[in-house]
Amino acid sequence: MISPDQLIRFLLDLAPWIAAYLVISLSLNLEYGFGGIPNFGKVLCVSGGAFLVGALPGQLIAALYNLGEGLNYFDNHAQIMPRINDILAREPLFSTLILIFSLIAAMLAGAGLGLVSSIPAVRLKEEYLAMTLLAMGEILILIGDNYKNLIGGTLGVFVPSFLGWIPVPTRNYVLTALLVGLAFLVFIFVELLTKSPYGRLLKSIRDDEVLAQALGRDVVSVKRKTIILAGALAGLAGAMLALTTGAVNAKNYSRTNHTFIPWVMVLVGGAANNWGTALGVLIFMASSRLIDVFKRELQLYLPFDVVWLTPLLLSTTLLIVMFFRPSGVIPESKTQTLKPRELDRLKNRLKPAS
Amino acid sequence: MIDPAIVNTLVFSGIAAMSSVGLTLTYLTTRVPNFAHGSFLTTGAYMAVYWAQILHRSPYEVLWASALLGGLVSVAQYRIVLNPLRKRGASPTYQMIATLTVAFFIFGVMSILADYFGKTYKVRTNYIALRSFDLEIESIPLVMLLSLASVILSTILLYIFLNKTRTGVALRASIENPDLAQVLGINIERMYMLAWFIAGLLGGFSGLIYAMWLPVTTTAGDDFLPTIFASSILGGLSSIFGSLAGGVMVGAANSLIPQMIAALGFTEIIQYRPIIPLLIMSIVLLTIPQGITSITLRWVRAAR
Repeated sequence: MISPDQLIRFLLDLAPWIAAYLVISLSLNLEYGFGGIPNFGKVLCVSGGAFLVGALPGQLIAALYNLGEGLNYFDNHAQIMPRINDILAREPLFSTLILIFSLIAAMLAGAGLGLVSSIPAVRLKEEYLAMTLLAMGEILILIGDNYKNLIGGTLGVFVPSFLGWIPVPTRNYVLTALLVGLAFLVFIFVELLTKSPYGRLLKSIRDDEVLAQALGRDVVSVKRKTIILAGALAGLAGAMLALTTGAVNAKNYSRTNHTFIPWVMVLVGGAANNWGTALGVLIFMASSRLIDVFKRELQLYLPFDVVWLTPLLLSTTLLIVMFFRPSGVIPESKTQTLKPRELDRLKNRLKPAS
Repeated sequence: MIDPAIVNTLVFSGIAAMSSVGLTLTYLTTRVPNFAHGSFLTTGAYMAVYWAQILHRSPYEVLWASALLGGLVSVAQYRIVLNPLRKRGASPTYQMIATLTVAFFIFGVMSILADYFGKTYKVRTNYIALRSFDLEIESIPLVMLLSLASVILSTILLYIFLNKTRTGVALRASIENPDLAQVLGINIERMYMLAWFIAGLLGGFSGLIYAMWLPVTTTAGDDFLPTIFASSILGGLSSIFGSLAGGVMVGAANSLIPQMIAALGFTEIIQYRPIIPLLIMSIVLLTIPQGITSITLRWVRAAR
């Protein structure tokens, strides 16, 4: 039996991951669900944000406090990092400012990469676009893995502990609360955005691009803005992942984990519906973590490592959903329009007084 | 002794060319890029790995089985997943996600098998190359000759099949004009299944060549996928012989050119090799989405 204490620890473990994946999935939902842009290179902006948090703040602090003394930040990572963390532990205000700065910078990096991926997105049609984005998504990871001076190459880098000034048991709670809070804000933002006229415009472009163009909308510009915005959100999610793990290594970012799994979440939960996406994230994260929890019990009966059951379960679930419930668990809701009486009232008000 | 750079290029080009022909064939039938195509390669490669590691016999004995296994997996993917989805009217994006899902599923199966065989027979099943099982003919590695021969042979056979046999003509007809082919009494479903089977056959076969030269992992095919796509796209994505040429070119771009640049002193280029097919893919799609065959045609037309 699971004690309440264990349950709380389980949820605390899980919450940062749910938060980060919620942000990735919401940004994908904005692109694919509402905008109809099949972004098969989601990992590009996510890894962009994560790499930035791995690369920039640490080097910035080292430069500001002259910690490097001419040493290479990545070659002498093990010596420089404790000094950075010492400084951060002593100066709460500075740490907080640097943290906020890093998050904003990660969003900007994501937006920049979004701009890059919008170049093919406004030109190519569905499958060509998917292939191009899939290819582009991988390039940054490969550079991060091989080029030592970006995020330490194969060894990776540690993320400075921005919350080092908070004593240990509370620190994890604060981090979790921060990440969950960020995800919550993003959810509200995306929900409001997609309910706004902009959201309806996006849907209309998805449903009929030519019609939207005929009605005088600048389709290319709307698409580009959407991809940049989704890129910024994905960059933020990448930063959240980096903060959760406390380290950044290019090997941990992949087509499967940061492109395919968000797609699974969006499609299972329900595309073009933010609540559905959130539900998809919850279902997916909870079930994959439950497998981890019951690993030892299951292991007794199986002649192979239990972790490999996850891909089987996941892909089967997605295929079942695709076959029998293609619109996801919570399908797209109808666009909210005004009630007829309300419309009449508005019409009457617009009529010239005679 | 032959220069390893040349062996590398020829083997790599062979794998790329053979698997990209398959990708093009399946793309022609469903008009959806199959992101699970690398899995056929992994399947074929592991057939060879288990044969060699567990029974300690030459992997060349199971050449036919590797190819057949790839073909069966491919047909299964088409019959069980893609075709039913298409009949339900799934959008291309949905079908693409379905192919990614299949790739993930096969990755799971491959990992389970690798883990199981590794534990049961106490052999290494991950990150293993079978080069030690390879033979040499007058100090030329057999895998190179096989790769070269199979590309030439499959080009000739495909040409004869598609142009000179009734079935091949029927296959082309069902790709080019399904409705008309159906009116003429051609069973399109069977033709498409045949195309998928040939694609899987070539994929599984190139998987064995892969295992003979490069280290096999459970993600081998997925890691190789960008190269397959780059070859296919370079060839225009809908031209079978274009993708054969594309495969040879990408193979050369992937091993010969970096080695030539490295010989000039820029040794760092070697580690960025995996980026090359990705760059080729993005640039070709953005500038000449019709592939290299379109350029030559335009050029020929201009010359006339």
